[in-house]
Amino acid sequence: MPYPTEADLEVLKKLGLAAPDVTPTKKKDEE
Amino acid sequence: MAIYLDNNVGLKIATVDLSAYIQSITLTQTFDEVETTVMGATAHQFSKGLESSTLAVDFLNDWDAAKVGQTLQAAYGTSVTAVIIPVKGTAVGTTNPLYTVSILINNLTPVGSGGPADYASSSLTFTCTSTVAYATTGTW
Repeated sequence: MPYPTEADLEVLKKLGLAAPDVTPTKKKDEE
Repeated sequence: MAIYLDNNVGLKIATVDLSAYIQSITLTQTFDEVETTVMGATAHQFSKGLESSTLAVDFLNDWDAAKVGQTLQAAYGTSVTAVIIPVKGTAVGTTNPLYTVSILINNLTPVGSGGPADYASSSLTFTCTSTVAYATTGTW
């Protein structure tokens, strides 16, 4: 399962935390 | 690893480790049973439908930065990823598999519950919005 998702990264952004060192997964319509 | 004391389950929500605030956690995997009974049957027949799992967690509340309160509040109304491991700090493997699932943060008890003699706590059950992915490799 792709992880973290863009929603996960949005939570981190709200918390003021740096995203983990991974590439966010794209939504299917962006691929 | 054989049987184990259930005192070191790891839970990350949206990559944030909230394990230190969990008093209890239950991931229930289930799916709909869709009736497929046809003529000639002598008993009801059911087939596997959509997965409909839940993740129930009892939290001790903490409103500090990036802890339970802030993380869940930031995720409220969205589907975020929950990653669960039976024994935190032990490598992922066949005896310590990784469970990854998307959960809808659809309920909160922001001020917790409890009385003057209690620590504020929140017992929350989240609806899963994906199948539960089971993996014996990877990292928590």
